[in-house]
Amino acid sequence: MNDITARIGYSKKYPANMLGHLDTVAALQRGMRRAAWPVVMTGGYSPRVKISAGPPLTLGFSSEAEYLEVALARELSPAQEDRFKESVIKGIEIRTIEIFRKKGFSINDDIAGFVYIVEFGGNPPDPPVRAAENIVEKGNGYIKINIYREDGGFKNPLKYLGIDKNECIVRKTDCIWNNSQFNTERR
Amino acid sequence: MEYADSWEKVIRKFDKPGKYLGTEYNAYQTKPGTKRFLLCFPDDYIIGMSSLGLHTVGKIIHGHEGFSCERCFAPGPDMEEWMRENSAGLVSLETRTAAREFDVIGFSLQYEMAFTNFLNMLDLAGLRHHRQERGPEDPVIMAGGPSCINPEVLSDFIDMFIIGEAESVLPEVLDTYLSSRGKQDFLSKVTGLKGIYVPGAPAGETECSVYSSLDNRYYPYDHPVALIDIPHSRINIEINRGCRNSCRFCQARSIYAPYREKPPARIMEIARKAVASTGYGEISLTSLSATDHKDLTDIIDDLYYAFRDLGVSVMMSSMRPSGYLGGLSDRLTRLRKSSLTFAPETASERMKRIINKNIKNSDIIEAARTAGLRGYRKIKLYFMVGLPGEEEEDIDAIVDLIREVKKASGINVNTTVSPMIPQPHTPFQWINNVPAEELAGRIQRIKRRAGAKIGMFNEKQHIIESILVRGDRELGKIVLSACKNGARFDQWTEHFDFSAWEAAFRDNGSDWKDWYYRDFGRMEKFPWDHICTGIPKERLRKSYADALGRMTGGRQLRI
Repeated sequence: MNDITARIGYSKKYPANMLGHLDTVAALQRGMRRAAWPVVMTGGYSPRVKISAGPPLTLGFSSEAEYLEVALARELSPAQEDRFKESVIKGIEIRTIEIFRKKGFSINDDIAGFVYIVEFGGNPPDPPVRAAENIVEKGNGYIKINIYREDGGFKNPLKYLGIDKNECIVRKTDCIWNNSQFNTERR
Repeated sequence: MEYADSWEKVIRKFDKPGKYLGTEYNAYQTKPGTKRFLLCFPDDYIIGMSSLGLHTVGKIIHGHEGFSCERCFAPGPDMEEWMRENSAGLVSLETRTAAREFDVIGFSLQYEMAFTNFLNMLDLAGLRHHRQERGPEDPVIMAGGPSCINPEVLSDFIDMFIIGEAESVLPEVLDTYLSSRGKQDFLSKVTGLKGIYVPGAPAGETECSVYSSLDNRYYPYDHPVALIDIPHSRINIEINRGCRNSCRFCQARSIYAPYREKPPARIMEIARKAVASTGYGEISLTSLSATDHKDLTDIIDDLYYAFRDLGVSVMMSSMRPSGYLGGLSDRLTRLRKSSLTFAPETASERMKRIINKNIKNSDIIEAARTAGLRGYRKIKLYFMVGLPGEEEEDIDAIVDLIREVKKASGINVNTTVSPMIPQPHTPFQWINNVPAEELAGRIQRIKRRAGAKIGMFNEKQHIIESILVRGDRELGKIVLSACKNGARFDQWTEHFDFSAWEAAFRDNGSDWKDWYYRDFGRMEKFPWDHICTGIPKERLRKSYADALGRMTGGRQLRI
């Protein structure tokens, strides 16, 4: 039987962008508990909430396209959804809550890549050649770059561009999905 | 390129910038038209935010209609460096208001190794260290917490101490502040309140304040929830206060006398409100000895059934194996099965009688066996060395017990062996310190023979802590010198700098050895004698005499 899954889409900006990945996931989990969500626990000696978070966002980056999935025992009431949206920490905004039944349980399989905008104080430096094909747009004071899965993971865009994190501001603006969403059955 | 907030640009380069945000869920919101109270914790954010005591005091202050509370923690070394380079003063977490603009600054002093951080925070706030050098326009500096049970070391720097439990006296202190005309008027008005010690007032005795009802009125179920992972990322529920046992090394028993229990219904009320407000997935039942609660099995059952569908687990801090065997073992499967903690402290029958801790080894071994069978993955054991009258056989008895626990349980056994530090207001306050290298040798002996994982022991940290707990006003000068020499975060082995302390003793024409090897046994009067806990000095003396009487036979180590 396919599990009921809630895919939560959220943005993460200052001050929440000063928190690491695990702290962010923990904060969202606390929000679910405040909203009394019917979460499903894993088995074993130390049961945990059955949750699958998207790839970690580097500390200090902000994002408009963060995703996380959580298994539920029942569908959510509108009140539970609203209460959750109100119970998250400053800097996180819940943009979407999609409920579907899904086979398997890893959001990572559904994600093909991300779109980033890297802002500089002045003109962008010349990026290394290997980054050239990923660059979508180059404008006054910014570079827009797509990052795809490589060796099973997603590289930090600054590694492609060869710049220090203290010289720029990085925003993740979008998520590029795999077609594997066909595996899911929408509500 | 624009940052969302200028603070973002500052903190992004520090270790764990989440410590400096102040945007926690349930963070205090300043109430207009109220007096401002800065609640300070002289150690790192992660330690302070784990403290139930700090949250309780915050709730009392912020819940008072005339006050708004804000928090402040000791800045990390990287942050302090930035503050000093940029002449940026100490600010509150919530609104980043300069500390010196607050009406009252309160420090939670929970252990002596945070004393240099306390003095450093005053300095970063731009305030004079000595209370007599601060003016009437400067904030009132008050302190509370377990370390205030011997307030003398810091009494040159603090205007007012709360001795004992804050719940019973802090609301009255806040009322008095509102009705006072200036700092001096306030300090003279609070002098004489039960639990209040004003070092500048004429000498007298101060009785510990006791919160007799132990109701939920000030329970901080809606406390600020730490943004980063902290040692206690969970709901701590104090189910009883005080302790029925009278172990002779234990100071907490004196501070929190008498023993009081919370009824299960009150505990459930806290749990429901706290889960709904904090969102934590773990409830820990804390107390000095949780297994002494007469309704413990009911409490565990109630919590288990109320929260299992929400994914909230229940755990216990530490257990006495005797209580555990009486009915609790059936409940073990309802607790979070991460680890089980026992603190036998010692293992030989003779030593148990000397320290007056009556835990049977056979009970511990039986409890360990059951824990292994019920799927627990780890047992934690706590032992002490350096107890009076300790001999080689007593050390070896600890080794044997660790081995037997390992064998019976078949799971990981983590052992912590700490040297006993004689504490004020305990029967062992008359005992002299044992040379640190000798203590290290005893710990090493256990480590070698038991083949168990045993944490590091830092001799130098032990020396400084031992000196601080039984210090006096004179020692305060040395603590200040140590702070000026750069001593910070003395509790953290990676930050502890013994040379700063050695120099501090030298600067004051003294040597740490003079302090560490003081002859307490012959002291007529202790610096902390003017503080009266629920247990009078005469009773402590009798208990000490009884311990001495049990040290017969065999070679005696120095006492």
